[in-house]
Amino acid sequence: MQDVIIIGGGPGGIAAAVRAAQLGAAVTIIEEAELGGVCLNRGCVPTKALLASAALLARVRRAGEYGITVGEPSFSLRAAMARKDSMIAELRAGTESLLASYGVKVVRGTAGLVGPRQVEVGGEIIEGRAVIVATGSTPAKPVVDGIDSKGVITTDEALALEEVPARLLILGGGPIGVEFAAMFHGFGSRVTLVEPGPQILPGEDHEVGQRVRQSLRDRGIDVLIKTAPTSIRQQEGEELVVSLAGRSGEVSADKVLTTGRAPCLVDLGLTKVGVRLAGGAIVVDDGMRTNVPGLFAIGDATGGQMLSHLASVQGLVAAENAMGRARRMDYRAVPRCLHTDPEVGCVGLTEAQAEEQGYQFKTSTIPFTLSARATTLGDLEGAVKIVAEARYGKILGVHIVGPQATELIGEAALAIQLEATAEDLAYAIRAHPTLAESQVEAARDILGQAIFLPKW
Amino acid sequence: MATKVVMPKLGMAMTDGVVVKWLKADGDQVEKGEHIAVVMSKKITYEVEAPAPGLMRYAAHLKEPKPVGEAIAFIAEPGEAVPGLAELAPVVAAKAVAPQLLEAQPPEAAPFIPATPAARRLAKEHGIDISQVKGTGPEGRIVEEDVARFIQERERAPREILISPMARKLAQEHGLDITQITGSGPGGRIVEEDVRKLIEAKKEVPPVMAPPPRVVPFIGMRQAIAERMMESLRTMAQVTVTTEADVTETVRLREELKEEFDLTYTDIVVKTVAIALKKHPLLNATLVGEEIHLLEEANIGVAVALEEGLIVPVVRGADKKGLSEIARETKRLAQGARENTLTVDEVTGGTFTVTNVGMYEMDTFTPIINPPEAAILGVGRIVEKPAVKKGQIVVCSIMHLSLTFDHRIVDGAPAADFLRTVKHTLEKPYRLLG
Ligand SMILES: Cc1cc2nc3c(=O)[nH]c(=O)nc-3n(C[C@H](O)[C@H](O)[C@H](O)COP(=O)(O)OP(=O)(O)OC[C@H]3O[C@@H](n4cnc5c(N)ncnc54)[C@H](O)[C@@H]3O)c2cc1C
Repeated sequence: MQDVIIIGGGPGGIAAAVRAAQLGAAVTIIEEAELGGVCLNRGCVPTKALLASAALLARVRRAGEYGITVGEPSFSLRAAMARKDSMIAELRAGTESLLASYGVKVVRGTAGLVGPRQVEVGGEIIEGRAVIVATGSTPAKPVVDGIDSKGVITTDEALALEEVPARLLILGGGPIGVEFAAMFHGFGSRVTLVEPGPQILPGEDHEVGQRVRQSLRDRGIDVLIKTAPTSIRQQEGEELVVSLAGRSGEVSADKVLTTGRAPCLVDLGLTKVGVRLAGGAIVVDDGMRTNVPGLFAIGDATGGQMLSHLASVQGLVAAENAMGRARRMDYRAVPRCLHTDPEVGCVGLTEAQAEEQGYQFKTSTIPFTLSARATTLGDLEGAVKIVAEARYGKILGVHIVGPQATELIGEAALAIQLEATAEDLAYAIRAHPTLAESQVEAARDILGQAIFLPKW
Repeated sequence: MATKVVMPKLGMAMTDGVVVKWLKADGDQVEKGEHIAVVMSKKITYEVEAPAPGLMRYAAHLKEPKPVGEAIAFIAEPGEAVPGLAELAPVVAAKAVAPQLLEAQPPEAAPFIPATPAARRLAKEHGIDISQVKGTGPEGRIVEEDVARFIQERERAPREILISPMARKLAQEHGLDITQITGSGPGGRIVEEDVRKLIEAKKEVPPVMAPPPRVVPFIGMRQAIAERMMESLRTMAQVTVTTEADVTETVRLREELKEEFDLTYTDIVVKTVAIALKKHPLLNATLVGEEIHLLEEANIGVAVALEEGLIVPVVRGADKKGLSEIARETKRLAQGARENTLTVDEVTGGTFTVTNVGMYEMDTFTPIINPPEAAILGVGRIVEKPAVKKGQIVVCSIMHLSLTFDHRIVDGAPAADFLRTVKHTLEKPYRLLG
C-alpha cells in the first residue's frame, strides 16, 4: 500500500512526488518513457538549449557592433543537437538521483487506473491512498488534408532534425510556434508562421502580440495571421505545398511543423473510474481534485495553460491535499514566457482581460529605448507595459517584451501575488543601470510620475 | 484484546473530564477492581476502578480533557503489546485547557481600571484599550502621560499584521480595522479577498443606523462611584438576604413623633441598625489583612442620591444618639450633601450603611457594600397589606429589608440573626425610645 501513486514523471509528477515524500508519504511514480516528461525531453529544456545556440549565433553576427571582428560563423545543427542532448541527459540523471534521495519508488511502464485508487502497471496492481494523474500532453495535429504527409512534423521530430530545413512552415502562432520560428530562422531556415487568429501569441496582450510580430517580421520571418491551411500536398522531391484559407497562391516548404497539443489520457481508464472530462482534459477543482475522491490530476493533463512551472505548482498543491493538507491554487500570478530574442515575459491580466472583468484600469508603457541598460546592451527592442486597477492602483498585469524579460517578469509575478499596488512598485529603488528600472518607471507612469518620459 | 478504561459519565451534563491523578504507574500490573485513576468532571471527582486484571498503559495525559467514553487507559493481557502514551499523538492543548476545566472559574469580570479622565479621553481618541496601559499614578491609576507613552511605544513597535498593500488600501477606504481581519494568505497574511469578504458581509447586514448617543462625561463622582462599586464587588463575597417587617407600630411611632420633630423612616432604621450592631458585632466589622476588626463605634452611613450620583454621609456613634438627634443630623448631612458643603470627616469613617429606596416604590434589591464595611441594609417601601393575626385578617404596614453582607467576614446564620433583630425592633419600636 502506497500513500501516493503518481502516473507520469514530468515536471508535475516529480514536484508532487518530492512534496508528498517531504510530508512523509510512501510514493511511487510511474513513467512509461523518460523522467522529466515533455518539459525536459521534448519541450522546455531542448528548445531553450537550441534557442541559446540561435541567440548566440545572432549575437556573434552582431559582434562588429561591439567592436569585435569575427569571421562569418558557421553553424552545425548536429552539434547544437548534441549539446542539447547532453544537457537533457545530465538533467535527467539529476532528476533520478533527486527522486532516489527522497526514497521515491520509480516504476517503469505504462499505467492505467483499474479503480479510483488502484493502478495497474506491467500486469501488477498497486494500491494507494491517493492517485495523482500527471500524464501531460502529446502533439496533436490539426485535421487538414494531407496532414499525414511525410515532412509534416511535430515538435518532437523538429527537436531531432539532423538538417536545417531550407523552408519551414509553422502552423500555430502560439508560444511554441513563435519559439520554433525564432529558432529555425536563427539556424538559417526561411520561416513562415501561420496563425488562424487575429494576433500571434493569442491570449496575450495585444501590444505584446504586435511587438513580437513586428520583431519577427523585422528579422525576415513571414507572419500570416487569420489564416489556416486548407490542404497540404506532397510534391515529388519531398517538397510540401500548402494552400491557405482566404489566400491566393500557395506556400511551398520543405517541412511543415505542427505545434498543437492535447492532454495525454488514452487508455488511462479514466472513464472506467468515472472521472469527469471536459474538452479532452481532466476537470479539477482548485485543490487539483477530480470528481473521484482520492484521485487528483495536474499539469497538461488538465488542459488550460500548458506550462511546466504551473504543472509543478499544481503538483505541490495536489501532494499537500493528498496528504491531508488544504492548499489552493492561485492562478493570478503564473508567468508566461518566450525565450526568443527579444524575450517575452507576461503575468496577470492583459488589457482585454481587465476590460472583460469589468475593471476600471490604467495602463502605462515604457519602451526600452529609454533604458540606459538596454542601450549599453545594445538591445533596445521592446517595452514594459503595466495594467493597473485605477482606484487603488493594484497591479493587474505586467507585459514585457525585451532583453531578459523572462527574468524581469519574476518581480512582477511577486508583485501580483502579494497584491502590490503601483505605488509599491513606483516607490521601489532599483540599481542603475539595470533593466529592472524600466518596470519601476512604468509603475511611476501609472501614477503620472514617470521621470524619463519627456513631458509632451 | 486489551480492555479499554473509559472516561466515565459522572453526571447527566458531563461531556468530558480529565485524569487528575494516576493511582497506578504506567505499565503497572493491576488487579480487577483496584483503583487506578482519579478523574474529575467540572463538578466532582471519582476514582476509576480497573475493569480487568492486567498491565495498565496510560492513554491520556494528566489534565488532558477526554470526552466521556473515550479511553483513558488500556489494560493489556499478558504478552499483549499496547502502545504507550509516547506513541500516541501529543496533546498540545492539554495544558491550556485543563486548569480552566478543573477549577471551573467564572470568567473574570472586566476589572474597573482606575484612570484619569484625561487619560481616558486620550486613550479613546487613539482607540486604545485602557486596560493595556500601565498606570504610574497613585495606586496605579493611569494618568495621561501613561497613555501618551503607550501610544509612542505602540508606534515604535513593529507592525505585526501581515497584510497585502492592496488589502490595506481597501480596508482603509472602507474604514475597516485591520487588526480585526483574519488573513487567509500564507502565514495569516490578509489578502484582498479577505477584506472583500468582510465588506460583502457588512453589506449583507445593513447596520441599524443608531443615532449617535448623547455623551455624558464619565468623570468625577460618577467615576469615583464606579471605582468603589467595582472594587466592592471584586473584593468581597457578597450575599443578600431579604425579609419583611411588619412596621405598623413604627408607622404609628413616627406619626406620633413627627408632631415633635421631623423624623424619617430612614432615621428610625439608622437607630435600629446601630443598636442591632451592638448585639451583632460581626456586622460592624472590617477585614484587615488576616484579621477581622470588630469596630467599637456604630457609624452609620446614609446614602443620599444626588443628580451627579450617590453620596454617603455618616452619622457617627448612632447607637448612642437619640432619635431626635439622629433626625437632626441626617437632615443636616443631606442638606450638606446637596449643597456640596460636607467635610471629609462627614463622609468617611462609616462602619455600616443604610440605603433607602422606599421613596422610589422599590421593595427588595441587592445593595452593594460600601467598602471596607462588612454589610449594608437596603430599605424598601412601606406598603399596607392584609395579614392574618390571631386568626383575624388585619391590615399591616410591611417594609422590605435587604441585607447584603460580606460572607468572608460573617456567615449566613449570624447575618440573618442580625436582620431578624432589626426586623423585631422595627416591629416593636418603642424600645428605641428607651
Ligand atoms: C516544444 C515545447 C516547448 C515548451 N516550452 C516550455 C517552456 O519553455 N516553458 C514552460 O513552462 N513550458 C513549456 N512547454 C510545456 C511543458 O513542457 C509542459 O507544460 C509540461 O511538460 C507539462 O508537465 P506535466 O508534468 O503535466 O506533463 P509532461 O511533461 O507531459 O509529462 C507527462 C509524463 O507522463 C508520462 N506518461 C503519460 N501517460 C502515461 C501512462 N499512462 N503511464 C505512465 N507514464 C505516462 C509521459 O511519458 C511523460 O513523461 C513546452 C512544451 C513543448 C511541447
